[in-house]
Amino acid sequence: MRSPFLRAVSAKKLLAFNSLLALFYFIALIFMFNRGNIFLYVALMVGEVFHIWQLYTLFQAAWEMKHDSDFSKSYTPAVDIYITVAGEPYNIVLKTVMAATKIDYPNYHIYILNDGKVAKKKKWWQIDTIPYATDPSKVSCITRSKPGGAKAGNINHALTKTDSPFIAVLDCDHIPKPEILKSMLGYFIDPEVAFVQSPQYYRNHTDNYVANAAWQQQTLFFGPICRGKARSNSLFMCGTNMVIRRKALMSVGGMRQESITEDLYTSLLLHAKGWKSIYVPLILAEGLAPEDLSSYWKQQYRWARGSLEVLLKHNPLWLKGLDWRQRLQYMASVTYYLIGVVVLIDALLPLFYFYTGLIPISATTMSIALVFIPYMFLTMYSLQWISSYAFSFRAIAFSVASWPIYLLALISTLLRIDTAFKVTSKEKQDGNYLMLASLHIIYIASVLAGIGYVLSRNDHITSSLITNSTWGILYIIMFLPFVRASLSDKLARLMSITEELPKEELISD
Amino acid sequence: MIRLVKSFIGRKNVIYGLSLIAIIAVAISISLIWFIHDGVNYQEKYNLSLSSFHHGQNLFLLGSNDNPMPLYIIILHAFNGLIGHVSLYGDRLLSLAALVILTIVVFFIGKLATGRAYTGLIAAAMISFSPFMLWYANRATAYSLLTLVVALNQLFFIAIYKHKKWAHIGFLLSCLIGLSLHFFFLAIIIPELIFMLFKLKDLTGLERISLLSILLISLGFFGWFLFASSHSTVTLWQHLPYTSKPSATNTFIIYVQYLFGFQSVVLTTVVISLWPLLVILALLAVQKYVRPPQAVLYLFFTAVFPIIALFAFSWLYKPLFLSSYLIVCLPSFFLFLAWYLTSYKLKIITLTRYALITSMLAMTFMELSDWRIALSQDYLGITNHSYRYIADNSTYN
Repeated sequence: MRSPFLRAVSAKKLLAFNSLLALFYFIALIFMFNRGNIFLYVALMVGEVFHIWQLYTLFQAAWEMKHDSDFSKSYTPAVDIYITVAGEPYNIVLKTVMAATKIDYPNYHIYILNDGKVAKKKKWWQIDTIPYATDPSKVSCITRSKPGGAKAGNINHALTKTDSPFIAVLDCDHIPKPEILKSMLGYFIDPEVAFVQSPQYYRNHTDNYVANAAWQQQTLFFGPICRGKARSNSLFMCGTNMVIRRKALMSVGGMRQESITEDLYTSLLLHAKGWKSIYVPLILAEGLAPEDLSSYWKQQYRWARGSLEVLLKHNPLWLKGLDWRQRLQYMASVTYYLIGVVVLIDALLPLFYFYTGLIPISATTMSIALVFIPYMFLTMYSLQWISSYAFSFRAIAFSVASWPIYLLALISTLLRIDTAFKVTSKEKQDGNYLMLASLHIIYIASVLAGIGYVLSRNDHITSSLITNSTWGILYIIMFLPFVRASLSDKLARLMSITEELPKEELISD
Repeated sequence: MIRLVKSFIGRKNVIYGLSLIAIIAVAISISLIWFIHDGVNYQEKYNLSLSSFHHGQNLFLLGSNDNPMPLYIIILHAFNGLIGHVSLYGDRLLSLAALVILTIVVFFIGKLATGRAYTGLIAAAMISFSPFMLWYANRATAYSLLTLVVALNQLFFIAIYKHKKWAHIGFLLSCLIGLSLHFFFLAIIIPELIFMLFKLKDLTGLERISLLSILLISLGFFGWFLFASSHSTVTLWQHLPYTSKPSATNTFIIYVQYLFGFQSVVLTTVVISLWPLLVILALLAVQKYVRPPQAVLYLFFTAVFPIIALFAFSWLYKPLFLSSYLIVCLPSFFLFLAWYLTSYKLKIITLTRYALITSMLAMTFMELSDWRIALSQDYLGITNHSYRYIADNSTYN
């Protein structure tokens, strides 16, 4: 049994038709309608190019999800399991280590990589006692004294202290299943395989609004996207639930410390050197999603910052050794976070109309609807189909509403502002995070004020006003889940906006 | 005794049955009190005159010469013969009877397609309260009967995909009857053929042969239209009404008319300008593990394909974009909408469901009361009105 998002589905006809419709929409936008204000027009077209680019690269990944690789059950080399810790609570780390001691595999040792000391965390020394609380013959603790390189530095330090040919990396909240190593090591029978990755799964996704939204965003990535990337040998490491060949890792100088998404950058270098990567679409470990908006913000910011740094400093387009499919997929991943700019542009267009009367395109509203609606409906349907209906409006809304995070990441990358590696909190920090949703609240107020402003200026209601107002309301609806997430649980209950979170379903293959 | 009957039928079925009766009762009441008394229009006059021929043979020849799809005329003739005279109200009641049966059929389609009787009930309510449908259900024209046959055809098509053996004969008959009623029934056959070609793997071998044969026979039957038209006293294109090329607005107005009937330009413009709401509803429809059943995809396809096809035909060949022809999309549109409004637990969608049905009823009364909507084509009334206006406002120089 597996979770639906991990199913491999075939949708070639659907994706081909959707691609044609997207192209038709884009051509119609350029040739069928008159331009309005030139700046707004260019901004709109840049956004549309971005959307089409993301759509096509997603379809290219999802085109064929099935991919067979050599596997040998009897291949059971020695493995060092690294459990990375940087100040997380003792009980969380203990649970993970205890589960790791129960892994069904003949030849492994567990190393807790304790960075609590260099990170100056309180009670960091408690982690050092875990081997004695579990099984000292199987568990050791490596505590760094010299800081540097964050998680990558921690792993590289451990590499100098251990010697197994394979390394399994787990975040300290990702509780492994007993079959994890047996399900992954067999792929290394192929000597060209550098790493094997399995999906991240959040066991707390039904506990909490933010965790649920964060999880649903992951289903598209760990479902059709990772499957597709694996087929084109462009799947990158995701920081946890992975096994790496030591020889491959050392061929690129270990985990790269230049980027806060060390996993992405190291994978890029590995692929450029001709190494292979494998994706195992099975839930082999269960972790914790961020449970409050602040933790979510930090996580998304780190991913966005790291990806945008790779885009600007180590652009996959120019890196030697990659084939065209790899370049395409890596570019798709690192450019994704430019969505922050695109969402901002699209959301501002109704406001431009309200306050200045300017529009990007001069056309009857229904002509635009005629080309946009079929494309949009079919795209929504395609997304649902390829993800086996495993994600929802909340995932889309959170992705769209995260635009300030991605915009901030872009600005800080361009300005080369230093960013420390901030570990995502594993425990909920309850509180009001309305500050994080302040831009959204300002937007909502601006739309409502804008509608009032236009109504007060004109003596009659035009179809342009109605359509632009409805677009503004669309963005308000998209931003509302994010605003809801910024409220404390108490306030949400007071306002009667608690909701039932969807339960996980399992399906047979 | 009642308890026994209830326990036999099942409480839920009793509730649905009573609800359906109530819905039909409302539709009949609105029709008999208001709609049926509307003035006669040109098309009704034409149908009544054709149906008044006494000789069956002559009727058939007349039908084939001036009306390649004579079945409705034959039905009118037989009905008038039964009641003893040509009666406008009688013939309108025939259309109303078609609406009553249509409501029941749509309920069963909704139940079969989605597995939920409640969806069928909502679709039945929409059909019965649609001002557009109510208008055509109180006219001596073929459209109400055509819509009924379309719905029956779709019921049988979905039943075939559910491997119901009894559906094949019904499907064949509905195809032939539909094509005999109106050539535009073809706009239902073609998407069914396309759908079938994409979803062949869901049918057994025998079902594929049966379905394909029926569809091909139907296409061949359509050849009668072309044959009759080529021997007609008027040319093929003279059969068809003159219209202008449709715009993008026209395609959306069709759906607005299904929901809210024939309204003033201002109201229609306001409604269609709210089209980004469709985007909102589509986004809200992205819900975890809520997958549209195959039958619902079929309904969506048949709700959209004829309109796109006619739009393309109107631009590429001859303008023919008429809301009356596109009534063939109405059952599937309402069924798809009912599925959407009953599949998602979000409060906003629940509210939309009830708000929509309420506003449809409200718009029915608006359609009846707004004198600016010249639906009835009451030429005598318009002439009298014009005479009075000229008499009151003209001056002698």
